[in-house]
Amino acid sequence: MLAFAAAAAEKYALVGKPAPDLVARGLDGENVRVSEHRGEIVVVSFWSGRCNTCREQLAALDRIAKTYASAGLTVIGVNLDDDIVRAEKFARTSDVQFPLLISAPANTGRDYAVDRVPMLVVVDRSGVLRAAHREFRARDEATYVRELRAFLNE
Amino acid sequence: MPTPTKPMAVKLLVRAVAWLALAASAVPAFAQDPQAAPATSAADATAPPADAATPAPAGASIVGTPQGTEATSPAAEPAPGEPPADTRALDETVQDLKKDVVDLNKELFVLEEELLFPANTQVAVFVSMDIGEFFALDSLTLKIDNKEVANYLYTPREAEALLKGGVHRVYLGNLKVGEHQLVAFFEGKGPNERDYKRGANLKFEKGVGAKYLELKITDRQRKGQPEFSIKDWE
Repeated sequence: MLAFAAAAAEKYALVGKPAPDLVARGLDGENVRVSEHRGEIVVVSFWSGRCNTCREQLAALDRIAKTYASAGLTVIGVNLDDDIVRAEKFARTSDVQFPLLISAPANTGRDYAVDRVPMLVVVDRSGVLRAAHREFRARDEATYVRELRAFLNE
Repeated sequence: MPTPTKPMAVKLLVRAVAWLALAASAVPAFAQDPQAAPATSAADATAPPADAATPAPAGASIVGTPQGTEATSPAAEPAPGEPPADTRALDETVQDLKKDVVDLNKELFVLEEELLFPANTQVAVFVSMDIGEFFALDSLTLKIDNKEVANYLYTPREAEALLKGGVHRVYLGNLKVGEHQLVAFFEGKGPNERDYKRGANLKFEKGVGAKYLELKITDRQRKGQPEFSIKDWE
């Protein structure tokens, strides 16, 4: 019973709803807006400079992004730390090609109901939030690929 | 712009219900026999390679195409490479339906905006940019009567759209009749790629009609500097 309740709590309430817009400055100084990628499948990964698993997840997403970018996949990493210096240091040592946004607005975590990191959400071509994944294990990469292929195929 | 009258709202609602009913009757036509669709299509050739760590399920395709459903109606005898006539007609109906839904959505949006921001209290602030040789806009903060009402980060695409003549409505709100003050802070890259922050302010009188204000960024060629001004559209 407790397990069932815990599983229910794991559900993500925003699935099926329009993704909240998000704009923040990237590491390279350019601003990136999620809604500008309407028409593409967008993966938004929320990360923290204190989290080692985030680094693994970002690396996995980078591999996926390189493979599926031509099919219309965009990956955006969003930092949720207050400590900008630590976030920048983390981002500069992460060898990923997709934009890592550093100074996300304070309401970002609340808008996307981020309750732990790493966490990622998938936004479909029409801007609807379709899936969410909390935490990351090595085998999750295959799950992401399977799910994203299905969304790209729609 | 249509006046938001009660009969119009009723008319829109009736139309919405009618289209929803029509859409509901059209949906089963799409739902029939999904198994009959072939698992692969010509578009497979353009699909990116599957990740080495995750072999794709047999017959799965990355980008599905509508042509994949052609095999579902063998009785229509279509010409090679063309969908059957009944599918075409259905497709046209769906396209018409989509267009009507978009039109209806647009009308409802206008109606909603007129209800939320009536003309007698409405204040809108627009941003425009001319040339932009000396300034690359990055963000804008707006304060009305010393209260921050908008903070907008511009992406390179948005800044480019402004340079091409686009006008961005950065704020839409309500203000009571009387005197108010608008302060705008512009941030970006100035001459020689230096960080640049400037402000502009305007005291304006809000009357009984809607108020439109324009934040203009122009280049002052003689000084080699950008210029920021606020224009009150009477």
